[in-house]
Amino acid sequence: MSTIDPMNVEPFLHLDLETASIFMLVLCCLLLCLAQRAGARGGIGVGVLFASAAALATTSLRADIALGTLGAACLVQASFCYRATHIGAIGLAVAGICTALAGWLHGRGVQEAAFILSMIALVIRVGPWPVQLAMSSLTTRAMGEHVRQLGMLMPLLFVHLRYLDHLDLAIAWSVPMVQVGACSMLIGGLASLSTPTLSGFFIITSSVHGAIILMACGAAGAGHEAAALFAGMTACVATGGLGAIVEAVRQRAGERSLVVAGGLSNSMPRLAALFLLFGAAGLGLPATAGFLADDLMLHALWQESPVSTAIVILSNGLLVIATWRAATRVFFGTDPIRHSDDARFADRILAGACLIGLVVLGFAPRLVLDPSLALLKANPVAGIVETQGVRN
Amino acid sequence: MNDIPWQAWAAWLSILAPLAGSLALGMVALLAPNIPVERSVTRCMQACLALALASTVAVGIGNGLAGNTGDIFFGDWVIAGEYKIPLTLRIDWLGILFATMSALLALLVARFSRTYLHRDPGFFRFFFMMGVFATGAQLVAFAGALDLMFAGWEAVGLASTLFIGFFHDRPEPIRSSIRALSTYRLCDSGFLLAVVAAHEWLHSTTLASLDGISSLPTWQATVIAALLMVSAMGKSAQLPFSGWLSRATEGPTPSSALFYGGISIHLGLFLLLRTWSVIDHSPIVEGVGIGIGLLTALYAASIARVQPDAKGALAHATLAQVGIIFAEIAAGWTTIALVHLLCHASLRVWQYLRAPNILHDAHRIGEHAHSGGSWLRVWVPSIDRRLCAMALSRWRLDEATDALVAPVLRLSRFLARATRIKP
Repeated sequence: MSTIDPMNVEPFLHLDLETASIFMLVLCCLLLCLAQRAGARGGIGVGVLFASAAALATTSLRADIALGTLGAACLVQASFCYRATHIGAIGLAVAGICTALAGWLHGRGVQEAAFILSMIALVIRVGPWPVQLAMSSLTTRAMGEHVRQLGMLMPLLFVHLRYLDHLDLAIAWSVPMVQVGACSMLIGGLASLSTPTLSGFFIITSSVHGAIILMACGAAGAGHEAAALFAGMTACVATGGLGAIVEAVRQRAGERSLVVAGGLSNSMPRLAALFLLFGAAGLGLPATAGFLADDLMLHALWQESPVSTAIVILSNGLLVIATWRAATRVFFGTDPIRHSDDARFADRILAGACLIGLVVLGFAPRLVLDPSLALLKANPVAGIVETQGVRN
Repeated sequence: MNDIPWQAWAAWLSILAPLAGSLALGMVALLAPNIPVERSVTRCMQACLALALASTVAVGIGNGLAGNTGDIFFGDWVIAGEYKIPLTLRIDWLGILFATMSALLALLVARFSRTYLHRDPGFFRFFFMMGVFATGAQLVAFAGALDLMFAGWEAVGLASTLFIGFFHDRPEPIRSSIRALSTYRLCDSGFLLAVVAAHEWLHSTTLASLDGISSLPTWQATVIAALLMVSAMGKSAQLPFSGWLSRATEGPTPSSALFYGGISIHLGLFLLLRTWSVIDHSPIVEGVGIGIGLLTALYAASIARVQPDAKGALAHATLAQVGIIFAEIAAGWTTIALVHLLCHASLRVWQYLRAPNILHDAHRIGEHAHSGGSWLRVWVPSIDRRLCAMALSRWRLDEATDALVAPVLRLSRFLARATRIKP
C-alpha cells in the first residue's frame, strides 16, 4: 500500500500502512478487548487510547515517536496496576522509561544505547527466567493488565525489529541471546512439569514464551526479522488468550491446584476447550500460526546454534506435556461442586476471534510474512537519517 | 495452477473435508448456546468422511487411468528469506492405498460409534476428534514434504492423546494419556530435528529432495535416517517406547480400533516406507531397525500370550505384527511390508470392534481359551514360570522407564520450587 522513499520522509507524521501492520493491529485490538474482559482497569475509552497508541507506533516512520508513544502507554499502564501489584507496576514503569529513553536516544543518534534500553524493556515485559518477577506479579494479581501489556508488546516488538535490530550490536548479540533464551526455555520447560498451581503453570508458560521472544530478537539480529515478528505475534496472542482463560477460571472457581484432578470440564466445557486450544496454539498446534512459528524459529535458530535448536525442541516438548498435565488436573476428573457458569458469550466471541486470527495466520502466513520481510529489511532508519542530513 | 491435475485437487479435498467438519462443529459448539445434537454431529462428520473417502478413491482412479501423478507443487506456503516450506503433495500408489484405507476405516468406525457411543457424554468430543484424526492421517499419506507430513503426524498424535483420556472421570485414563503424550513428544522431537536438519543440509524438505540424499556425507544421511526412525519407533510403539501401548486401550473401543489396531500404530511404518530412500542409505539404521523390530515382536508376542483381557491381548498381538513389519521394512522388503501393513490394519480394526463380543461368542460357539502346555512348560517348567511372570509384568519396561524419568522429575520439582515467586 505504501513504499518507503528515503528522500520523501515527512519530519513528524508519516504513516506506513502495510498488511502486516494492519493484521498485527487487529490482533492487538483483540487482545486489548480480551484484557478488558479479564479485568483490566478503565473502560472502552482507555482501550481506544491504547489501541491508538499501538496504531501510531506501528505506522509511524519515526522511531522516536513510535518508542516514545509505547513508553508513555507503558507508564499509563503502570499507574493503572499500581494498586493491585507494586512490583508489576514498577516493572512496567521501568520498561516504559527504558522504551521512552530508547526513543529519545535513537532520535539523538545513539543507536547502540537505544537498542540496549529497548531490549531491557522487552525482557522486563516478556519475563524469561530468571527475570520473571514483574511478569509473574502481574499474572498473579492483575491478569487483565498482563493481557493488555501482551497486546501492546506486539507493536513494541515490531518497532524494535524495524528500527533497532539492524545494528552491529544486534548482530554481535545474536548468538548469546539465542543461547541464553534456549537455556531459559529449558529451565522453564523442566519447571513446568511440577508446578503445583494453575497460576504457577501460567507464569512458567509466559516465561517460556518470553524466552522464545528473546530468542526471536536474537535471530532477528542475524537477518530473520520476519520469522521473529511472526513468532512474537503468535506467542503474544496465544499467551494472552491463555491468560484470559486462566483468569476466567480463577474468577469462577478460585486458584486451582494441579496436584489433584479438579473436574471443572463438567461445568466449564468451553473454557476447557479454549484452554487447550490456546495452550496448544502457542506450542505448535498444526493449522494454527504456532506450527509455522515453531518451524520458522527452529530454522532461524539452527543457523545461530544447532545445539540451542535441539534444546528448544526438547523444551517445547516438555511444555506440551506440562500443558496437557495442567489441563487434565484442572478440568478432568469429577468435581462435586457445580460452579457458576461457562465462558460468557462475549468471551467466546473474542476468544474465537483470536483463534480465527491464529488459524488464518496458520493457513496464510504470507499475509504477514511477505510484507514484513520487505518492511523490516528496508531499515527506514538509514532513510530518515539521510533525509534529515540532506534537509539540514 | 492450470497445469495441476484434478487428482491433486481431489487429494486436497480428502485432506480438508474432515478438517472443515471439525472446524464447523467446533465453531458451532463454541458460539451456540448448546452443544449440537447427536444426529447433526454424526451427519456432519459422516458426510465429511464420506467425501474424503470418495475423493481418495477418485484420486486412485485418476492415477490408474492417467498413470502415476507424482509430486504436485502448489507454490510455497511460507517464504522467509532462503527458508521456504513448499506446498507439495505426492500422489503415488503408496499414499493412495494408505489414504484409502485410512478414510475407509475412519468412516466405518464413525458409523459404528454412532450406535456404540449413543448418549455418551463425550459423543460430540469423539466425532470432533475423529475429524482431526482423519485430516492428520490423510495429510501424512499425501504430503510431499516433511513439514506437511509433520503437521499431519502431530494431528494424529494429538487426537490419540485425547482419545486415551476420553473417559476422564477415572484417574487411570488421564495418567495413561500423559504417558502416551510424553512418549509421542519425545519421539516427535526426532522428526522435528530431522525436518530442520534436512532443510539445512539438503536445502529442501520435499520427498523428492530426500531421494537425492546420496549427495550428503554418510554421517549426515545417517543422522536424518536415525531421527526419522526414532520418530517412527515412538508412533509404532517399538522398543523401548512400547510402554504406552498397553495403557492406550483405556479409550473407547472404536478409537482403540482405529488408532491401535488400524492407522495410528501403522503410521510409523508408513513414515519409514515414505522415507525409504533415506533409510536405504544408512546400513547402520537398517540393521538397528531389523533388531528393534524383531525384539519388539518377541516382547509383544510373549506378553500377548499371558494377557488376561481381550483388548490388552489384542494390543500386544498387534504390536508383535507391527514389529515384524518394522523389521521387514528395515530389511528392504518394502512391497511385502506394504501388503502386510494393509491386511494387518484391516484385520485388527475388525478384531478390536468385535472385542466386546468375545465372551458372548465364546459362550455361543463353545470355544474356550485353551491352556495346553507348550514344549517349554513340559521340558523346563521353572524357566517357563519365570518367563510367564516376566511377561505378566511386561518385562518391567514401565519400571525401567520410570527409573530413567525419575531424576528428570526430581530436577523439575527442584526448579519449580526454586522459580516459584510469591509477590
